[in-house]
Amino acid sequence: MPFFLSHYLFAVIPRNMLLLPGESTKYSSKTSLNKEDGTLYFTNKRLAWCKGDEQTPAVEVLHENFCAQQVSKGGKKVMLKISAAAAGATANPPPMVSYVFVWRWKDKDAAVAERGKFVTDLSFLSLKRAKNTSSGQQTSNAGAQAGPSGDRSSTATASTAATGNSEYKNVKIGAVPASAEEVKLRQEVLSKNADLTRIHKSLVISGLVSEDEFWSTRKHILETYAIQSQLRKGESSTWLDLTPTTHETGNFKYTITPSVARRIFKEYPQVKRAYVDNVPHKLTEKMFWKRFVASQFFNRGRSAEAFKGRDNIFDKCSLEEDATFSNTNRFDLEFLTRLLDLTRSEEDAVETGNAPDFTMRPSLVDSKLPLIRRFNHHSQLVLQSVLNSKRKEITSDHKSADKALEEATVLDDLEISSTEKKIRLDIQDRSRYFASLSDEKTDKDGRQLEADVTTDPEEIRALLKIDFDISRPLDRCGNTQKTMATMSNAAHRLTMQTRPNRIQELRIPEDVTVAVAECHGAGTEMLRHLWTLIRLPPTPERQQRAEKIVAAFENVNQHIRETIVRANAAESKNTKLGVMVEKMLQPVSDSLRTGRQAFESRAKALSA
Amino acid sequence: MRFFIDDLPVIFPYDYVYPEQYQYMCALKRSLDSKGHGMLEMPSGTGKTISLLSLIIAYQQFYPGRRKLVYCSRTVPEIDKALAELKRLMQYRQTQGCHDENFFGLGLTSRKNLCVHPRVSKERKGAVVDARCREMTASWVRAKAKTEGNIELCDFYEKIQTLEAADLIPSGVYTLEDLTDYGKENVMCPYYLARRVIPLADVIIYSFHYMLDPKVAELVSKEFEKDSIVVFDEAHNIDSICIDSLSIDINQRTLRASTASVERLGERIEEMKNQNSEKLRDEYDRLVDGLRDALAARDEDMVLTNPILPDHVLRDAIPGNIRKADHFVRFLKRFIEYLKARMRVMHVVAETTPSFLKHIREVTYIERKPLRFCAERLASLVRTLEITDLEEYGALAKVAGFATLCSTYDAGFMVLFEPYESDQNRVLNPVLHLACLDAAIAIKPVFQRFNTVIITSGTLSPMEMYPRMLEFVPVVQESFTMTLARQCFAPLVVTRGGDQVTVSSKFEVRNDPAVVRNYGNLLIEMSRVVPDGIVAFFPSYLYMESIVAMWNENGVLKDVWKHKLIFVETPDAAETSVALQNYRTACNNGRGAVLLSVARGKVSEGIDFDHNYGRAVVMFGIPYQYTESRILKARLEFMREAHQIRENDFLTFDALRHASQCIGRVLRGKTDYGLMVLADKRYSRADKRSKLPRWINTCLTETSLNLSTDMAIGLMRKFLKAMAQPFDMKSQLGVSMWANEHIVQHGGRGDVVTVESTSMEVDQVS
Repeated sequence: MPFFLSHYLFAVIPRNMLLLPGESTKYSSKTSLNKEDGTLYFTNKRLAWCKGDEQTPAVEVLHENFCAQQVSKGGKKVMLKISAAAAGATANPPPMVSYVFVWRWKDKDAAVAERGKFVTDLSFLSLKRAKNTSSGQQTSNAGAQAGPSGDRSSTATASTAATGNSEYKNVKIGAVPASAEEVKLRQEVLSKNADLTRIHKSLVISGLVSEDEFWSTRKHILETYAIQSQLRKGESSTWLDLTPTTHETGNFKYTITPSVARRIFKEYPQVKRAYVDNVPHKLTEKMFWKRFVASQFFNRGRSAEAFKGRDNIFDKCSLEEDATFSNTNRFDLEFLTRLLDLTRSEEDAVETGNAPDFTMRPSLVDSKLPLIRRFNHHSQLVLQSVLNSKRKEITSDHKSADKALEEATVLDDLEISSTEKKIRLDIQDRSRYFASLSDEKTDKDGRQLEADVTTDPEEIRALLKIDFDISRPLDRCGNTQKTMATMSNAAHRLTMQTRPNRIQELRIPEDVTVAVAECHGAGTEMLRHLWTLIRLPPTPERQQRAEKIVAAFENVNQHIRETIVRANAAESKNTKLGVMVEKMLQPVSDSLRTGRQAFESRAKALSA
Repeated sequence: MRFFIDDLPVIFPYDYVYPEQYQYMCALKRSLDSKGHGMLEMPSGTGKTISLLSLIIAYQQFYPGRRKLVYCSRTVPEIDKALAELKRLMQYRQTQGCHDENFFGLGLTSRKNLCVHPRVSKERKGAVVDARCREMTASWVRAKAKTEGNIELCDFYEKIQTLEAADLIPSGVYTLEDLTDYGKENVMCPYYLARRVIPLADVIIYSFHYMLDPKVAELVSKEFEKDSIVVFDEAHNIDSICIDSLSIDINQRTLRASTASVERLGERIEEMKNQNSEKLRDEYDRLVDGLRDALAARDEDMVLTNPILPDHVLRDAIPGNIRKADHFVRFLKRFIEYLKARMRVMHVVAETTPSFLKHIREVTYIERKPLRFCAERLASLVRTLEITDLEEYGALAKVAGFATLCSTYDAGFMVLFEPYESDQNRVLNPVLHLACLDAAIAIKPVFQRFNTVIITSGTLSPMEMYPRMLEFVPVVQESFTMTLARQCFAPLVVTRGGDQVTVSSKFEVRNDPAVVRNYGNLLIEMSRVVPDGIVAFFPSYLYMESIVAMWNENGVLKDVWKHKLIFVETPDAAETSVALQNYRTACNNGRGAVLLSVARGKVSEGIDFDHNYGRAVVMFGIPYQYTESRILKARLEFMREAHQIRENDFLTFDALRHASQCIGRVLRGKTDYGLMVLADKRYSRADKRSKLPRWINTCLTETSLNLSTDMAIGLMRKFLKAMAQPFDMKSQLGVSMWANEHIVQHGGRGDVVTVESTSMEVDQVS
């Protein structure tokens, strides 16, 4: 009997995770990982998750290894994604792992609150770490990894993304030995570029080429990345539309964050003035915003005339705005190109004729005009903030006016034109470029669509069949998008599938292919270094390096021999595999030989 | 490039020529040869202006007689562009060895655009500039300045007076910019310089008003010979311009100002009588003798001119009862009082001019004849009284013009009085309209006076309308299509939204939330797909404002903001110009922008949206006029009776010509490409489609009619991707672009140098 009781007790009392010495749990929360229930613990040393009732964590992330977190937006699922460096990894850069924890609770608000706790602490972590950066360590690139669309993740580190990673401002690329910033830069570049990582792994990790040499011919990549990471993301240029959220009680709730406030001040300088004047001595900030939202000034342009009331601060604002906008003299026509100046045509002849009917006259009664003027003003503000430079005064001298007229009148295609130098567009991933450009919302569907599309004629016919049932509403008549996709893709895919695939027929086993690719890669890399060194005027240092490289050729040759041996030994339906692989590797060995010869002849010429 | 058309050698300032340009030139030559009128429709963006100029200049210089070319365009930027093209053409001709001796070409526009006087040119309003100018250049002011000391004259004007017309400016082609620069350098007034030199010029380029509006044409265009070639470019709206030039509106403000002016006139007369009434006596004598003040008066009288046409100006002496200055003033007072009384009526009154005059006679005993001379008499009086500040007398001039027009024309006009602003809102705003209904009144004299009048535009369909409305018979009437190596524009007719609800700007459905939402979705999807600039046109200001407000509420515009900036046309010209400038900047730097404007507005008239400034143009709805307008109704009735044109036909024709004009703005040249979206269910109907110009109609295939939003977006994506591929110009050669050998192939004559070979080839072809 006591046995059963204890068993029962054990089942009820939740068991905590076994802690390391000196570790204490801050809090824990029931979450699930990979559809398995468990508990997530946040301690002072790590973040750990135990499955079910276990006491040893199935997953743990040490604070040092933590990189970034992402939070799911929207109300459906409460999720938290943690990216971390794999524990115990010694490779540089370390491989990354990520975990997605889901709070499957009925009470969504509580789940969000729980998640919030984790989020806050984790972001403190990364902030702390950003403060004491130690060289060579991978800092949390929360800024860069917070996702391209700032809307998605709501981490506190999003603010650092706005200011940009200016660590690389003064890094001098190419110094030997590499500075700490450069090492960090290299790691970041590698983490972004999968192909480069692969080459790096096969060459540098396996010791064929030294790290510095690898990067010496790739300076431009590092430089580009350094510049790009310095770019600041500007403020959103979209129209600021403060929409309230409605609560059950019928109250409206407006969320005004500092960035929203900043944008309001930029758009309406008179509100800024009012703010400066009144807060904090006359009004509290909250009261200020409350009155702002309730004022007629804010609600102008909306048809719902629910807000009626005088507000001495904001009525003044609206008067100021009206005054600014109706002052037509504010448009300085000096800056205008003459071809666009509509006032010249207005003043060309005496005004005559009947007034237009009321549909063509702008309605002065309804005051929609201020809203329209706001649009022009807002767009102008956006452009000015982007273009920084002061508007160049359109010099009304002859040359520029003539040039403008010429651009407007000359028909270029009727002239024999010289071919212009074109720069090739460098597309990273060719295959995806020509896929149908779908937006974020339908992205998943789009991709699915491509996968779903069949080439079986029977299936296609079934897809395209539409039954017209007049008794039902017409919205069931088939998805035009899908139909069109099917039609246009099906033919394409059919041809692709039936096209004879030579490579497949050769039936080379995968490891052999990989080895062949590696040989080619390594050989090319070596030769790259060698030829650049040879082309430059000889100095003793370069000579030494060239010798080293030529010596390293041996490694590559060895690798080639191994590959051929492996190919010969491999089991494959293709009897001629060895010969074929040898033929494939022939160009590499030839080039290596040529390189060596060139080097040696040059060395001889120098010593002679 | 050089080639022959019949026996006329034509120099064309490019290396290749479009086939339609060549055919256009051939048709034009036929019209010139036959000394008859012509109507030519050529697709927009295919270099109509340069073909016109090349052929006519070649004609002018080759054949004896050296016929003057008078080229009329719509807006001042278009005048600038035409002058620039002319300049380039002449330079090219020089390089090709043509000795065009003493060739002289220039443009003319208002004082406001040409003044170089440091103080006067800073004024913003044209009327003020005119008044200030007159203060310094009126004949009596100058006479007074010779005797008295303190009077300021305009140095620029004075210099012109000292020189002969032929010595004023060397020959050449001057753009408006060139002219003002020349004026600044040589201290000469560009405006008066141009006016003085017009009789000597080979090519004059100005706007329609200077040829059609009697008030202005009298002063400027009087001395052209009968065989001058008159060209109206972008003339699809020419009937509206003719009508506008003879219509007048009078409101309360005008009458108040007129009353004040008449009082002042009276006072001035008293003053003069007390001082020294010789001038008044002289004037009276002159009027008795029936002499008219010619000469110096011409320079000044831009404001106080006779609004009626030359044929109607009576040669009689001014009637006795208004010869004396104070009698005339009292006459004016009576007339103004009568008008004021009429404006107190609270209901709408519409009548013909004879009945209006009859009523005047009954009430005030004012006869028709003195009314006819009203404008002229006032002009003479103002001169005699040496009044310089004409700004104040504008209103009185309007009333005088009103009187003169009413009493001159019996048919083709309507007098309409409306007490309220519109029938819906009862805001009291009484206006007395004198509406001209007959477009032929203003332009018929031009057709009669000149042998060759060419009307040309990109959108003149259906072409039978114009000869009927304007009462002329064209000898040559042609419409050209575009020859294309690749289909560089795609007209699409969107008739329904994603939810299959039909969209239309028809009055009954335009405020339907589903329609508004569908239009909004169309705009959002397009701003997502189309790069750089999109231009959207709405049928009227009212519609645009209400739909923009509704879109703002729905959050449609918020979605558009995510992809592109938004600019909107406003009633203020300066503001719209600045918005256009910013729109162009946004299109140039990759941000992209959407421009919302109105189909009959300022933007659709003169601004080009070529290349990246307009990759797609959307016409939301069909831009019909407001059909409840009384003036429009009267006009329709007049046309039905006089020209047998059905109301519906005219309304559709008018709406579609504006729509075509809007969507044609997006192309220039054949490497340019653009999408043209017509978003209304009614466009898919055959009767509407048939009224689109031929070059658009031939591209409207069955697959592009009756589209829903998502289908249209799919087509747009494909089109844009296909167009963005590199396009080899050489593939066009022979198809949509011709070199000399192609001209020969198609039955023309090639280069003049290899005479023998071309003649042999011609033999072979024929």
